[in-house]
Amino acid sequence: MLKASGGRLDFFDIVNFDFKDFSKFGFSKVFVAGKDVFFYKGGERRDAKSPSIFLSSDAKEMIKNLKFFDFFYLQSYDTNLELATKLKKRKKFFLVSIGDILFSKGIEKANKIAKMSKFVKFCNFYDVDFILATLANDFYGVRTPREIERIGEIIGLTRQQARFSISLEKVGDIFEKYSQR
Amino acid sequence: MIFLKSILRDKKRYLLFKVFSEEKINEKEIAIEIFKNSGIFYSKINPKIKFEGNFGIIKTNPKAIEDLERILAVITEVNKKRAHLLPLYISGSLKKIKEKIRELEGKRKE
Repeated sequence: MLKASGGRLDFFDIVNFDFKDFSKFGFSKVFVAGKDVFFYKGGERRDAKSPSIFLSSDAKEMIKNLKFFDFFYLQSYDTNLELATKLKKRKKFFLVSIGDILFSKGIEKANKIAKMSKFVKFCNFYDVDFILATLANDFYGVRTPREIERIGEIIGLTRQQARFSISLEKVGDIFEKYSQR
Repeated sequence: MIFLKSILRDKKRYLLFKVFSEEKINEKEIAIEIFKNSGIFYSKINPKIKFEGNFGIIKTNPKAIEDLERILAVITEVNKKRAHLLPLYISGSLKKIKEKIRELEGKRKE
């Protein structure tokens, strides 16, 4: 059900608020944090019925918790080879948040763009999967798939790479696995 | 007055966007925000902004249209007011842009 039916890709996003008009923005599915997906900052996972995102700025902590979670949001965007290879082995995903660029200003924004572009190039080089999401807190933080493509270009992705990283085809298996439970 | 041949004239593109904002914003504020986010590329983009209701039209040169789209995508605040400038349509003629605005406003009324 989640997979794209034809040649056209279906897009998804992860947001932090109850966003109902997502189809007007061109998304096929929007996952709401705290409802469809859950964020964990540390410790073991409690809920096994929905996809989970592990949030940390420490790569070593992530390596310890690799088997418990589906997505890994490394806030520092450090390029850790050990984490990348293990993540690839387990077929899990990094989460790259576009909101980090949108809601920072000046030098901080420039630094975030530089770190993210380095991180994304690193992921592409070692063939590690990642997804893009806005993690928007309100309506003004939501971006359409086309806009996400453009932001992807800012951090050094091609249009196709940016499109594929927000397509349901990429993460469909994970969400389908949980919907069957 | 010298009239240049059409081949010698500068080409242009119009970008139609919709403004979602908490408070009312004007053309100047948007121009300043584009300037802040474009940095050294501002002279390349050289935008001329016009408002028609909730919609805005930016005139720029064809080479800078993608840069302009990237800049609009990153803007979240205009003069400290929360805003989202959503690009809708790109065209080479103002006539088509206005037709698109009429079409979108018609849809909203329905």
